[in-house]
Amino acid sequence: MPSTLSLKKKIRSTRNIAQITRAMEAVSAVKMRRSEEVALRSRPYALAALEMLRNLRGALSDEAISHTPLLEAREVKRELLIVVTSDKGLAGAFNANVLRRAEAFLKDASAPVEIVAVGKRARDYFARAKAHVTAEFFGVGDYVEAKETKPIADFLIEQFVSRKTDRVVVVYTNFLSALKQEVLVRTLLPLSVSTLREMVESIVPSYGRYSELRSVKGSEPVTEYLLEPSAEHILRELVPALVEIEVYDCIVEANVSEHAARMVAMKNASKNAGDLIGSLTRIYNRVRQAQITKELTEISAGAEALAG
Amino acid sequence: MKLFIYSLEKTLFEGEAEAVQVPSVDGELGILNGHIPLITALKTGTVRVAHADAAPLAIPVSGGYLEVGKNRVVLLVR
Repeated sequence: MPSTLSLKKKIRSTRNIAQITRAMEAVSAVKMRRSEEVALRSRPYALAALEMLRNLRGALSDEAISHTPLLEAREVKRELLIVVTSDKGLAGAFNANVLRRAEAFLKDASAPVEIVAVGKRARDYFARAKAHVTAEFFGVGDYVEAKETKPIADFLIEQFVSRKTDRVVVVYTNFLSALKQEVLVRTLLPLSVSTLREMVESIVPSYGRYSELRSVKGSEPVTEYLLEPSAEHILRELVPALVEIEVYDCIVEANVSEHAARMVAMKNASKNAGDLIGSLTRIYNRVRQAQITKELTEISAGAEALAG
Repeated sequence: MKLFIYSLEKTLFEGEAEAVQVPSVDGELGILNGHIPLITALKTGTVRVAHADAAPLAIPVSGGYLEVGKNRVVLLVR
């Protein structure tokens, strides 16, 4: 039977842990809401950029479009896989899900795949697996800023344009609601308008506070645009901007999901700690009572022995 | 005209404006009501917005795009 002292110690430390997990839960809830707002703020920009691309298409021949470096689909000889995880753990299965999906992608790949790790968790995982990591990025803050994700976008564009890779694929977590996030695999480069549209539309979560923003109002279409200096020039500049939007969006979504996953994980941890404190207290009381009973029997037995 | 100015991180301006002046790659460009549809790239400089009920607004930019549609101007800035 455990001693009352060791039980007391256990109860105290469990209580301390519960306090920490409760605090982390509250912090994650706030961070989740704030990063959700950050994610939504990029939406008007993304939509307007998409619309601009659509308006440009009218002025361009198909040939000009297919010869723009970042839109050109090539035979896939080498691929680049970006794995977006968090820097910190204690977020339930958040990172494990992403890494499992990445592992599955690596197994099915037909061409050699190079890995780009975003977040310390992905870096550590691939370092342990002794996989070759081409580049790693981490330290992206909680409320992601465009200047933090730009180096990543620049790196990918450089790799694709210099033909070091023929396709860039991203594995990241898309935020659906506080309780539901899904791991997605998406082709970033070559850029296609349909994946862009998909991505922009999924910026809005499917349930919850911001879901009413889902409907998109279209504007009056204009067919004849004056293009300065030229359609090709604008396209050449607009396409990298769209890639930047995509990368930014993936990372923001992953960030919101991270906080949501951590919030739920910490909620469970707090509940488990509460249960544990309950059962430990019960054992403690039983031990204490057993001890009192034992002492009483000893005293009465002693008294009887003296009287007898 | 309706003017929208967006950056990747936030909405900088949304609403009715009298005129907007932008640093296009071919030089400073002023847009008034009824300008013909135009798409152009921007260079580093300052976007100036004049609107009726407040002081003019100056937004420093380091590139971006301008789209003029029917009574609607969209600026994407960096």
